[in-house]
Amino acid sequence: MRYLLGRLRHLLIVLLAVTFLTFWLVNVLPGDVAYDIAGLDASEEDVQQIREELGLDRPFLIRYWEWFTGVLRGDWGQSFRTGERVADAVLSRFPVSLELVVLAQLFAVLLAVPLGILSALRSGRMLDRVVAVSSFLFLSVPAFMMAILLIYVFGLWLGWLPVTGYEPPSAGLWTNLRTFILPALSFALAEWTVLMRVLRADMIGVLQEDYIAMARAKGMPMWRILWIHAMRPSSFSFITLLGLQVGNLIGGSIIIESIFALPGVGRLLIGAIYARDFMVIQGCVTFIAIAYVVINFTVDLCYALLDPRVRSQRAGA
Amino acid sequence: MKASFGRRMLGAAVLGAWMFPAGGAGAAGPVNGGTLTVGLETDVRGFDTVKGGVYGISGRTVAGAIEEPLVYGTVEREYKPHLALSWEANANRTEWTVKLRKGVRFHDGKPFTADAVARHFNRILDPKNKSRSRGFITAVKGARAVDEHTVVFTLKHPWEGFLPMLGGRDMGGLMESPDQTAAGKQNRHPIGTGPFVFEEWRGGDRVVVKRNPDYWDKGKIHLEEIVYRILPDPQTRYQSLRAGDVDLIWTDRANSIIDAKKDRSVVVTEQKGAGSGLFLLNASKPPLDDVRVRRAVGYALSQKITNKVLWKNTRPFAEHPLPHECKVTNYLHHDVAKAKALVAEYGKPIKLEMIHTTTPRGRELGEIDQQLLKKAGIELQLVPVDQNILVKRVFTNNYMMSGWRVADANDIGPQLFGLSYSKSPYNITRFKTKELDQLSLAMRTAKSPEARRQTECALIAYVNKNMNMRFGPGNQYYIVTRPGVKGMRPFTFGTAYVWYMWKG
Repeated sequence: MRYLLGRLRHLLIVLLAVTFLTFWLVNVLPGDVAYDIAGLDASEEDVQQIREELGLDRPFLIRYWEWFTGVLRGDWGQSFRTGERVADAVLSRFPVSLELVVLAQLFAVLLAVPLGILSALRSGRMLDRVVAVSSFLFLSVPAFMMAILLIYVFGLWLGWLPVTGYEPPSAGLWTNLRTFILPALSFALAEWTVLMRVLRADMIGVLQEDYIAMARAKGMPMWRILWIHAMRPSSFSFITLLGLQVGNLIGGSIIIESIFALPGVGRLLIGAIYARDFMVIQGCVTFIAIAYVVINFTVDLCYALLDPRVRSQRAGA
Repeated sequence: MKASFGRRMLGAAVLGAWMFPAGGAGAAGPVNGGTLTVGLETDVRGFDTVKGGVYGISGRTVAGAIEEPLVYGTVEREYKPHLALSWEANANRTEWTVKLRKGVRFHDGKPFTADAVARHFNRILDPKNKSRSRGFITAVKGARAVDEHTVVFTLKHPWEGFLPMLGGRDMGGLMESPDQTAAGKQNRHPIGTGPFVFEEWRGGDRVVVKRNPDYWDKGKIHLEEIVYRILPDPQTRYQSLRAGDVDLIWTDRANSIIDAKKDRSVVVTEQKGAGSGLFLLNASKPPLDDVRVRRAVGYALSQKITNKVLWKNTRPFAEHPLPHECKVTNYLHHDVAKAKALVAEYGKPIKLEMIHTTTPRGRELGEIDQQLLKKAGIELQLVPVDQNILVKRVFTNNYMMSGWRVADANDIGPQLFGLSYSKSPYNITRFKTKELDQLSLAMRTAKSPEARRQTECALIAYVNKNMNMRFGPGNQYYIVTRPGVKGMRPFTFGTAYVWYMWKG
């Protein structure tokens, strides 16, 4: 319980810092959302009227305090441009971003784990070298470039998968998954390389441990040694990296969601930044900050599950 | 026995006739049913004329399926009956009596009446509502319902922009449900009288509309559903069309247009529009307060070169933004010798500053203009700014020269008036003369369409001569479709009338 309360306190501090910094940065950015809303044909009076309606003529600290206390009450404000409630806008788009991140990680793990294990088992041999070269090749291609290549090959040339758009799960599982394959692969084809290298390095070390030699000597099947005895101690760095990569994916989702026209939080955020839609920017940033802290908390919990020493330490504390 | 050559040819001819009957496969009429998927550049901000902003092409493409104007404006600027069957002005053209079509209903089943029309326009005109559409129809004093299907509009003065306003497909021109508006729901859940009923709006993703089974002009509507997908990135939008994810897009990207014209898997439809690009010269900032300097800039710049380099000739040359021709425009065509002569006559070094957007297109335009002015002996400093900043600086008189635009519209008059009249807050070049005021007022209060056209031309000629604004390039719209999409009719303001189309 103390541990949980500590994490909650940590979350609140992070939220305060992140939201205050974002609010301040957006306010000092050049530009005026009132002009954007009014349009090119509006007069200065129209613009001033919009500023007053939106409360943009009030002091920055008062506006921030009103926003923050509103968030604590569940009122995240409204988009200046569309009038949509920010909470509705973010929550309706969150499942899209979540599905993208989860699938990207899943694809990355599906590639990284078997290749990492095989590379560790065949360390220094041909297979290891081929996997290493391939991984550097994929790592050197940025995600947006990978996205364009995948669109060209699988969307335009072969016509196997849709180039853009999103279909919700209610339209059918395969219909939904089809729209995520290319976007998720755009991330996964770079992410798997780092995961694989980390797993390979840790596993090479673990496979040299005495208890592994003992297990081999006892005639235990290799798959059992790998999955039951070697995988667990090799996965601490792997899991840490998975957690950190989620942060990358959340940031990188802005570009991938734009390229594939996925209606996620990333695309909402970039549109709001261009339009100086403060309330939406704040809402997205707050949500991303909460998501990041929760993910890190989950990663910490995973350590406790995997490593009994961590569980004992925390129980003792 | 081998068939003779003649018999073989006859057989081939018979086979060919059977496979390809006279008239070709495309001679079939409209096909009912199916879904058309349209790729849009932006999401709609909202459908309430008071709460929402100005539509733009994307907004009009969606709203036009759900809501309708009173009159149907053609590309030739003629006005035909639509929700209104007839209209008549009084002797001094300050009062218009409009008779409405009977039997039309809103999507919620409520009847479309004169009361709905009057409430719609009076709501826009009410200063308390602070509608941004109000500025475009200030010539209208008010509207009142005389009976269930007759509306009388009272104007402050004769206004030839009245019918164009009724035919407009932007916020003010489209009829909304008064009940839905009063309930505050029209913005996110629009109700109109149009051929399609609003079904769903997933913000940032799509808007879905379904065929209105009770539409008053059913025979013209063939699709069962239209799905509007929001695809802001122009490359993504174009690739989606090529991949078959969407059936129709609008684009202004020169590379995509040129590529599409060569690509046999898509069809390109072009339509010329009114309006134009605009180059502002702030006549209140020295040395631009001297007409010789402004005219030197006018002669030094080249619309032909800009069109070729920046737009790859996908936009037409334009001497003015009007939809009709003018015999005399006084447009200053590119002439470096004349520019240099004016610079010499001015007698002092000329250093100017131009603000432009930080987009690749904005930068390129700035660089082209810088090089052109350099040839005439004029030094130009470029100041790249964010779009929001550019607009702010223009409105707060903190600029020397800038790009702008005259939007395509049924009636260009209000924009020209705003840009020219000395007391207008929209006179952003701060060029104020008695003659220009007289021309602006004469245009605004012209008593016939012909008189209006003549005064518009006179105003343009005066502006071109004094060079506080430089028009061009013109507007050309490109709609790119998959081959199976049929029923494209001439459209206005870049807005394809998708609701009339079908898929063959």
